[in-house]
Amino acid sequence: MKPLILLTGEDEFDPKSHNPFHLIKRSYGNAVAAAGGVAIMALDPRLVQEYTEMADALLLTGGVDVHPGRYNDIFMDFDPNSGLPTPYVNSVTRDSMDILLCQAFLKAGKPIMGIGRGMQVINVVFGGTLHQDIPIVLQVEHPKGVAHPIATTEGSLMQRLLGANTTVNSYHHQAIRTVGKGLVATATAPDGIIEALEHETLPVFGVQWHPETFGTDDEALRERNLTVVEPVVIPDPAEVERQALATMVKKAIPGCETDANVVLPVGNPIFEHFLNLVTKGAQ
Amino acid sequence: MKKPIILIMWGSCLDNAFTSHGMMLTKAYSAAITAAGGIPILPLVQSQIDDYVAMADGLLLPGAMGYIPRPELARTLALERYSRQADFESVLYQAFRKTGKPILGICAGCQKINCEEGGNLQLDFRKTFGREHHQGVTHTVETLPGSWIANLWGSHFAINSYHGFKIAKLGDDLRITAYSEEGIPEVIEHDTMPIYGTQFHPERMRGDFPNPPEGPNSDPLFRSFIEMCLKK
Repeated sequence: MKPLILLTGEDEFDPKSHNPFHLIKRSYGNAVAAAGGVAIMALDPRLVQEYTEMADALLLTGGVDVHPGRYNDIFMDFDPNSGLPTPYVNSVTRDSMDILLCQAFLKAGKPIMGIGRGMQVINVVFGGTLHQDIPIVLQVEHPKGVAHPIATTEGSLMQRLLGANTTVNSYHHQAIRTVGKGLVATATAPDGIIEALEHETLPVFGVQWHPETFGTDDEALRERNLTVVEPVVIPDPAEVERQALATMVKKAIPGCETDANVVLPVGNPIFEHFLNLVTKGAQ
Repeated sequence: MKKPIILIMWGSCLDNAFTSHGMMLTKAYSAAITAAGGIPILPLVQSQIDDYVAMADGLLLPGAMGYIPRPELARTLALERYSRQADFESVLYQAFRKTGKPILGICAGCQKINCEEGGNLQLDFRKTFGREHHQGVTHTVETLPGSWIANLWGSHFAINSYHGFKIAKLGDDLRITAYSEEGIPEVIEHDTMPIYGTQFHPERMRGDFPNPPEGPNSDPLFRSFIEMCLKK
């Protein structure tokens, strides 16, 4: 039996219809599958007990900010430097989903991995706190989309998986402030920002960067989609006909990309370790 | 009693942080399943569909949905929906169908069932048919006596309507068990298998803000589906 891995996703409102929805980037599930797990997403925070019984491990994925009230801080409504309102986004219902699942999986003794926001959630669950905005609070630039080096701590899991020094991607504006009880910071960026947390005794760890982009076009898509305005093209009548025929029977448009023969990105050390925690009980 | 696990198919989207391909689900679907006593989960990887089918007790194919962080990316999203999502959903449906476990399709999911069973659709029928069935218009339907839907809600009732396509050729061994006043298929049921489709959105016909307000409460419909999932 392959291990069943429960993933949490974003929790948002559609700007047009105001319908609430859950969303997850495809590369998270593919990374779990490549490492040998079966990936499903949780859909209702009222079913924490059922999900915890069902799944073998929990992956807390990236997303919006944790509400500061969850770590006994005051919400930074205004930038103290400029006096302007801050643009940060949070989701109180996602906080509940992530934190309740994290606590339940801890209680069940099942492994937990956090990515980006997910690492910050783990820290908050263990009583740690967060910097609400890196540029405002720490007065350093830690720009999104710019890779940077990290140094790992000797004897840590991170050093074993990645070596003493490596380069990681970076897509966050918040950071670990105080480390939660039982957790250890095991990787740092040159500006001092904590990039990885490991629990001293439990099968729980998190990384601030996004290892799920390994072997994917996530970062290239981001570059393209943030800048490119799709041109208005007069569609080729033959293509319109082809699309209409496919749509009439709800089949994939011929020639377009599907996941029928997708090559999963195997060899990702972070995800392989996570799955090993389930299958081998390794630390 | 053990709660049944219900797989819910997703809609294509692009995520906020990476504007990369993803999957989404409007909460109304998962909330209706939870309220009826099921455990909703979202499948994520096409090559793992056999694993999902083995663990689940029922399949829900939802209506069309999508999300993009920038309106300029609409074409990217449309290609995802009509290629990756369409293919995933076909493979999922066919794998699940083999098990004989219950399947419920809503709106585009109902149309998908019809197509997978050998039928087809009429695209943008509003222009040729001359009747608006989109953007939530409320209308009534008439049901076939003795059918699943008639047993739930009787001979006539009001529904919401959000579709631009309609069932044209009916799939094999399917039966239309509810029609609109103008003869548009609104519910399909399989003759021998527990496969059901509604062209309207029952997930919006429950809770504190039902749409339409004059329609029946849809909790019994979802409970009926969950009960079938428990039996199989």
